[in-house]
Amino acid sequence: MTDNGHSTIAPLKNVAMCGRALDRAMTRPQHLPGMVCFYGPSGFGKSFAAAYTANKYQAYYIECKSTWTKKAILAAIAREMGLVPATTMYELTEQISNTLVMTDRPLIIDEMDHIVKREAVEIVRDIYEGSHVPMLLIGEENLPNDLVKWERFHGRILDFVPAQAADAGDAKVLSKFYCHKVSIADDLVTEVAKRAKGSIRRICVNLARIEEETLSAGKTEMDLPGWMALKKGFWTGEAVVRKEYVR
Amino acid sequence: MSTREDLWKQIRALGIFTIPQLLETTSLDRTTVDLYVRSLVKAGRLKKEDVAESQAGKGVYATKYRYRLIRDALEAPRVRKDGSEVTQGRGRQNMWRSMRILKRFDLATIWAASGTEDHQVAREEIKTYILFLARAGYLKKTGEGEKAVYMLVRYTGPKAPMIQRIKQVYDQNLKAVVWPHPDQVPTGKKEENE
Repeated sequence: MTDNGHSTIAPLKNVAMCGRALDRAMTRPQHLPGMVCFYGPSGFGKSFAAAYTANKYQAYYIECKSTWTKKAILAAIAREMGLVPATTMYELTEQISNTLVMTDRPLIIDEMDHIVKREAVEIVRDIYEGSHVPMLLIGEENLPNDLVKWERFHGRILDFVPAQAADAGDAKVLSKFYCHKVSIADDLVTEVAKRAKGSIRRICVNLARIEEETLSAGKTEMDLPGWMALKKGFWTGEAVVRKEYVR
Repeated sequence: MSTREDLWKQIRALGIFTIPQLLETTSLDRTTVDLYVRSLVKAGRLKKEDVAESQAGKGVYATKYRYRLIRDALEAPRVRKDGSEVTQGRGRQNMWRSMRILKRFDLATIWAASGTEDHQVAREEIKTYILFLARAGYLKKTGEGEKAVYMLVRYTGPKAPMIQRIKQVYDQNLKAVVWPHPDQVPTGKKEENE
């Protein structure tokens, strides 16, 4: 496949759904709540969706860590917005809310589960109440259930959007990026999607492998019979990548 | 502080202002101020209003118009003459943001994550950016070639590090040149094309 400069991952199902959810929050009538929740298992491409959505809307993005205290969460959000964090929680909340009001940019909070476990959801609610900016909260499958406990928070969520399992259409979109030097036939793309059992991560790994093996076999195109003949199989491993602590 | 930021700060502080008022509080020349104000009007951030004759001022303060801030923002808007947004640096910012969100990635992953309908990012641009970020110590590389996997090991803040024309990496968060390291003698090795 040739280098197509006009491709994006916007057609990926989860990217589209995540974007639409935030879009609804951004264009909502004033009386409706402005937080949306996007949730699903690891490997379903939530990070891809988060990255695309963050880039599209130039959003502020924060990923929570299990060790963070309430104050640490607030300070991290402030830093992400380019502010010098204030000293008290009260001041921090006000600082963040005031700044959010001033900008047209939404806030994305990833790994929201850690905030729920820390019983810190009210700090997010306070920021929302102080700014009313659209927020996208991302977490694991249990996030909607865990949030039920926080009734006052739950009621401020416009929409709960579950991440979907990846299909052949998604694999086709990704092949433009992961197999850009070789041409990969639709039967092989479909098989890759089938073997991946819904995981975007497995699709990416297999597409990259197919490109590499095709090139080293001296070919520029590959289809399903060709791939089976190479006897390289499909990688179906449990690709649980620990999210390393970065900072 | 850049001219633009300087002016924007004044505009926000004043709320309603005239051009002579802005000139008084900044050391910028009339052409620069006029251009930025006009662009902001086109961008829908300022509203141009007539001034009643009695308030029009005298001498150097004489003016027929005043401006009202109608759409505020924290950061100084980057606008062209026609009011459209300047998107220079958007690609770099998208790549940096994608790296932060994905943390462990290869070239293809950042390529997929960084382009949007409004702003495409070329594969070559990403390759160069990754190369320089790895050199400057932001990324740790495992594996070789195009399939190499990188990990973001040094996140200094939300602003994307810049590759300057003279092939050095400047970090806007630290406000410092991070590569080549100031103590390092340039190797004289031929750099890859930007």
